[in-house]
Amino acid sequence: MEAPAAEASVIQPPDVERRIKWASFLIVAGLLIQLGSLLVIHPLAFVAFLCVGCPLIAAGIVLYLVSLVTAAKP
Amino acid sequence: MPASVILVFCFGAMLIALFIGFRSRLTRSREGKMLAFIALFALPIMAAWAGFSEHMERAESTKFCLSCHVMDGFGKSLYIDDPSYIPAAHFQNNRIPRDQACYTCHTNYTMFGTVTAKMHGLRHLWVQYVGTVPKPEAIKLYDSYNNRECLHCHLGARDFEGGTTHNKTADRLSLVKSNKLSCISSGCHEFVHDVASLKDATFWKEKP
Repeated sequence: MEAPAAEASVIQPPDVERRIKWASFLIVAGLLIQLGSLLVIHPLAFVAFLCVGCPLIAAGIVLYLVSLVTAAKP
Repeated sequence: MPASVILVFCFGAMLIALFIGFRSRLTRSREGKMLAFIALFALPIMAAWAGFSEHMERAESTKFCLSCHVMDGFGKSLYIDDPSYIPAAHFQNNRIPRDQACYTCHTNYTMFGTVTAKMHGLRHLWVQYVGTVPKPEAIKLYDSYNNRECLHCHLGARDFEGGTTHNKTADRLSLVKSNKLSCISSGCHEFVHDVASLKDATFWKEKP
């Protein structure tokens, strides 16, 4: 009997994919703000990075981790 | 790390995250899961940390400090054409790095000096954008200026240790070194940022 290949696709619930999609968009938005803030030397750029960019990136990472945890549930 | 490298790194991390966002079905395979972990966890954390570090470094620049309108006078005072003005003499003669002029003298050279300076900076941001901005003449130091900040560079220097004024009395040098006799408020080097009298001052024009 042939063992299933290690790289075989696993069926995932669409919720997980939707969360991953949202997580990636949040992270992209946060990184965009970070990129913009790095183009100018001004206190407001730092505020934008710290108060908007970082929370968006953090929210994206948390959402991704949540999607991992929920996907692992039977 | 140069800012250009951080920009390229952030841009790359963004593209990979975007790719995963539009191709979320890829995460059904093991390779896709690994790519998603890199794109949505490892790279964003690294990019955010690099960005934070770059912003912290930029916060030490003279341009950053002088970008608030209330600091205009303090920036101008660096160009006063009078060698008795301590900040101007230090700035114009490159005794301090010009691109970090404010930070060099206004950070405490102690274990948590940088952290304290950054926390003060955050408070300044709050006052600038949310609070009531004081008049430049009303801006004072948090604590009296500690000689330690001067001695960070001048201690052991020939003109400091052997200067006739500094050795006028036997104990003067030891009093200065122990911060019992202030460098700037004991009538010796008292001309610092005198922003109230800038109208009457003449300014040094740097040759291009």
